[in-house]
Amino acid sequence: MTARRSGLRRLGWLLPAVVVLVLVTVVPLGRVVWTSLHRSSPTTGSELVGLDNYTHLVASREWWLAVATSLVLVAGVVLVQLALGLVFGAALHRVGVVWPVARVVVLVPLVLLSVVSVVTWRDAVNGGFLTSWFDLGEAGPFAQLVAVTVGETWRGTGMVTAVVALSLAQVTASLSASAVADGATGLQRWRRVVLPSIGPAVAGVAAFRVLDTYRVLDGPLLTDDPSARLQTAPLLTWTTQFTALELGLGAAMSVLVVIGAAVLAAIVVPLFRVRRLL
Amino acid sequence: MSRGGRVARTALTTVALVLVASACGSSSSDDPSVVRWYVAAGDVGSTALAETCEPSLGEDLSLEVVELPADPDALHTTLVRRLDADPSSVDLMTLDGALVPELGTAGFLAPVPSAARTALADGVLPQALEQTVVDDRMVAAPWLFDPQLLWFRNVTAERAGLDVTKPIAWADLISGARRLGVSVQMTDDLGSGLVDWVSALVASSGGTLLQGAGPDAKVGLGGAPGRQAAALVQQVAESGVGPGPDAAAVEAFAGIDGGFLLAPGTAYTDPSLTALQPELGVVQYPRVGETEAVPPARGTVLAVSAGSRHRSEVFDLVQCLAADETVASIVLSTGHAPARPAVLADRSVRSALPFARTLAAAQKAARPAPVTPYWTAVRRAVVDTWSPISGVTTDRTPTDSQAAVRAALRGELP
Repeated sequence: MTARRSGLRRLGWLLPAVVVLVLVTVVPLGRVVWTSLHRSSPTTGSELVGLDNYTHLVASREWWLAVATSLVLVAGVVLVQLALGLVFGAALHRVGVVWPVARVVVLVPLVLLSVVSVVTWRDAVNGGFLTSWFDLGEAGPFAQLVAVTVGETWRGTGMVTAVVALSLAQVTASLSASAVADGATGLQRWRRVVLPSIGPAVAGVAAFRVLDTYRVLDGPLLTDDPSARLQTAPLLTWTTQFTALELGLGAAMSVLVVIGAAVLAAIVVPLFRVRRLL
Repeated sequence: MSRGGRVARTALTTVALVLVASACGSSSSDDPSVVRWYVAAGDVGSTALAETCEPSLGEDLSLEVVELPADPDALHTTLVRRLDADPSSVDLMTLDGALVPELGTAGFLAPVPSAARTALADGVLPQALEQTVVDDRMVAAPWLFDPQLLWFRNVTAERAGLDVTKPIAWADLISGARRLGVSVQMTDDLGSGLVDWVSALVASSGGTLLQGAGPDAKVGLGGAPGRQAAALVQQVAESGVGPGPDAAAVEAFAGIDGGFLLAPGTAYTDPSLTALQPELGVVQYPRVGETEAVPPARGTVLAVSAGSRHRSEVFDLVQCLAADETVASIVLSTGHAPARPAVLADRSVRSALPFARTLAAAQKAARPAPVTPYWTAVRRAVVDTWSPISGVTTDRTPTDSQAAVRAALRGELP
């Protein structure tokens, strides 16, 4: 009886938190799903169309093109980030042993807001220093592609570098020392000692970067201009929702983006065995 | 908590409170004695007009002019969101007539009271009046109606071998400009230059961009008129006589290799052309084939928000703004064309505005944007498929554009 009562009381304490959680997650999601079943606009009214928006999107070339752009961006950007981050992280670890302040100083340019790095690279290609170095003419879509990929890579590399440098610092010194004593080569030490101990952290940051790059919106939005068309799925959702004001279709797109993220997570998380972290 | 921490926290709270208070204080959106007039940025000297007509609101109300973004998409979304969220925050709007069907259908615009209807509708050009009627109700006052004209320096036309006493053909215009090495510039007023151009070329080739008001409206881009329009756009792009519709067109025309300019009457009063005024010539918009040209035109209307708390006073203000004397002063100072031709026919206007006759003739033939609540979607689809103009081809662009506009009407992706 007492146990039950205390259980109830505990539930009572939890109730406000549960209510808030429902208010900020289930209600908006439910509303998005409900809106996605309509053709709806603030001016031309709303009409229930069932699954029409979804069937249209699944059959739409434009939509799959945007999804493909997002995925190509994810694959390219995340691979480059991991490679650069590992090298930078290892270098930083070595430098850090000598001079700890270096770690912080080196990371500063890498923690720029994506707004800053994307705009910097966009202008570099669009009449800036890259244009004069490589004698580029009218940049157009190319400038957009460079700005978004380099800007996004720049931003993510900082995070990967920091994680790698930090987890290298965690590698137990005695373990490395005994490996040396056992006569292990450099490569063996890297494979058997270092990689297993930094692996989970790197896998975690890689998984995070995949999902973070998948939802990238700011880069494409900042470089958006009529002559250049790099449409990622989130950007297409954005323009449908906020410029074309097709609220139903936009809602259907955002549902598909969320489903896409879930699928991506279902692939990426077991692949990198992130759960070892949790 | 340490003493320093407490002091810092108190200071932060004070700053936050002051910021909040000043944000509330500077906003007049709740002040019931202010009438807000929304205009697109860079529009017809609305501030001066506001001063002239403010007394018609009565003693208790004051008029405030609020600028909207000049970009057509930004303007559209800002306006729609504001009207949707709080219709009482808007009283009067200067609108592109093409937006009236959409905002009228949504119930955002107040019907013109019968007492004011005669004064506002009598003698107005039928194309301008048509834009203001939604479901048989007049929901906006026609104000200005600007057809595009062909401007040139007299000496350039002569050297290009163009007979300006007869309607000029696009083909002659392009070849003449090319021979002289001068450009053909086109204005891009409020970002609608490209869609105006395409729709005028389609109309001049005997087609119609859009027929019907619903989502099943007939789109006229895929057929022969669409191909003819694409051929012309392609010809302009390939001959290198100009960038197509461009925001800096008037300045480029004023420059050394500026030859011809397609623009409404407002070009005449543009600061960069004042020195050139004596040498300027103007004729009707060029024709495509042998038939008469259909110049593109923009109707500008005054619309009252359905949520306005001062409807009758604001309609008094509209009557003052749309009165012949006020419009005549706008026409003389800006070169805009009035929605009521009688203003242009007035002797004092005729003598002060050298191209008044050409303007009046252009108004008769001109066709504004089609009357449809889906205009913004249609415009976006046309711009998406026809820009950049260097990518326009006769076999792809018309069919792509036809498909894109139809999809846009149904609210789908192309």
